[in-house]
Amino acid sequence: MFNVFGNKNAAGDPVPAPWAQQIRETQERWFTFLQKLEERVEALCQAAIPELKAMRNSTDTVYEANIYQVWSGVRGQINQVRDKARQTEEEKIRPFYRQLDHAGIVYTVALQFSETCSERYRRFEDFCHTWEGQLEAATKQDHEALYQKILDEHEQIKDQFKCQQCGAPVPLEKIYFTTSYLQCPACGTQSTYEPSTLAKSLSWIARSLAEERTAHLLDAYNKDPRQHPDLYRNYLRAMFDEWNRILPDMAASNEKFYQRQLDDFNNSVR
Amino acid sequence: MFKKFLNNLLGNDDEQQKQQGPPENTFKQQFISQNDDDDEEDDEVPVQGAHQYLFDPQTQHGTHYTKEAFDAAANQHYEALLADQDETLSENDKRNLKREAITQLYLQWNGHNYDQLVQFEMANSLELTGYATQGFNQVTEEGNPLYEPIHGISLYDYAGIAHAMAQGIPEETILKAMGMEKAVWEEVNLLWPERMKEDATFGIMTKYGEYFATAAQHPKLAQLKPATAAIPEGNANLEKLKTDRYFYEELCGARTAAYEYGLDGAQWILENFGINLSDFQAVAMNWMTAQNQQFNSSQIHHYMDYQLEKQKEYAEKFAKEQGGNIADDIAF
Repeated sequence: MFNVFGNKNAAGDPVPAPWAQQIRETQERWFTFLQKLEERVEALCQAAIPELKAMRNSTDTVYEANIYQVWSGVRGQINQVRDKARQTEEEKIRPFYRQLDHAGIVYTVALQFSETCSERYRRFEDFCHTWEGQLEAATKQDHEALYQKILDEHEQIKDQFKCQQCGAPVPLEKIYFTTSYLQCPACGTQSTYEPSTLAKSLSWIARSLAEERTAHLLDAYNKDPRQHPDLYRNYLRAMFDEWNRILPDMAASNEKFYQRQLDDFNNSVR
Repeated sequence: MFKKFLNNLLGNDDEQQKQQGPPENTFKQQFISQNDDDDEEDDEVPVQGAHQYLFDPQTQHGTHYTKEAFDAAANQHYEALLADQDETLSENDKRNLKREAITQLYLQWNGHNYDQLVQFEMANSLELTGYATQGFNQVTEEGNPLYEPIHGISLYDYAGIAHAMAQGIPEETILKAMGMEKAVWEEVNLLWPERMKEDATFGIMTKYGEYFATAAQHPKLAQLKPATAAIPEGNANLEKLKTDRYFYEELCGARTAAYEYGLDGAQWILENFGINLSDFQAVAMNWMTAQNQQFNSSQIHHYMDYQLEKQKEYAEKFAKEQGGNIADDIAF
């Protein structure tokens, strides 16, 4: 008489009306609950992302502790929401499914309830994950912009450093990223030159910048149906060449690291 | 809607409530000193596993067979597994297959004790996986160019300097104690990490961790003291952290919860317990080494559960301080 969900058990018995109603109500409550949680996560992230971007844009410092603290706090709240969903799923949805099973409710109906709720839960998790990705993106530094600032600064100051002994100009032939001893061309005295914080950050961003500039080659490898090893080797060489171009002083050391990365990759190739 | 929450994160200058005293615990695990000379004698005495077998403390092989016999049998087993493969293997695949052969044989010969197997795998990780594990003396520094001092600064010195800096001792003070100029230090600080990148076994990083754990005793730096602990009980709390595993796990949980609520977790620990990050991490290295050397999976789970429990307690505390979590009003 009551053909709930259009399914019947092997004997053809319909799902009793009280159970059918409970199934429907539990499912609706679960969907509504998750939707409310999603709306809350979305509102939080929409408020937080502009703040994170503003913090990121206000400083050239590569590792800015405050940004990561705020980011951590927002992620912490998203994790609290996900925990709440997980606990509810464990305490309300799964036990109800087991009740259906014990009550002898037709298997296909019980299974449909379980799968429908699980699928909705997966979409909730994907939703949170997507917002977490956007939060992370908001904290990312624009390495090209920062590198250009470093180059611009160097152009401005490269002829301004003076010998600490005789006052003669000591040209900065390259971008120094560590405190260095520079010899005066006039009197031969060694003066200590300390780069700015901006210049020092060059060593921190060089690899990331090189990876970004060669990302299309890595993409080509990942998207190749057979993932031909030479495509990865091509990417690796190009990335390190770019890294060495940005930071030539580290080229000798980088080559050792390149060899290690290449060996690691070759050991994984069949 | 989230203005108060975000304002808390963006301009967090609230005073932290002082931590309540830790709860009583009925089970104390002794902290194993890495510098105790008596341990050298103990290193020669076989260790008894949960089963009736005895194990060599260095190799973790059972004393009821020879390593040569085991290696021969393991090679034979590996060759048999290799012959069964019907596709081309990479070098990593072959290494993994060899590891599988060794671990299968180890379990057969040593009573199928899985905790003992983990201990064996850690003690022999360099051979089995190509990676070093902290606490098992797998690294040979002498004669290895990767461990040559850089501008006279050894890896131990480097760990000592890092430890002192993380304690908050001014860089100028540290460099003066080491007799080193800033330009030299900056190059050292660039090149030791480069050596770590070059080392495919992670041996340098492992050794660095071991040195960091004892860095407070560095002969040139031990007399340098950080600023006075934020609270008077700081030194007593640090000593407790070294011997009371529950206290250690509680503070780990508290720190994690603090970060999850947008606080500087390390700073929170300093302000509420008087323990700076450097000292905390040195103690953490020692607990990890002790755990590796006496691997016991049920104990590990016990302490993980305890830490998680404490993390949740502190999360509730921080949530209350900030006015609750964002979805507290949403019910199923």
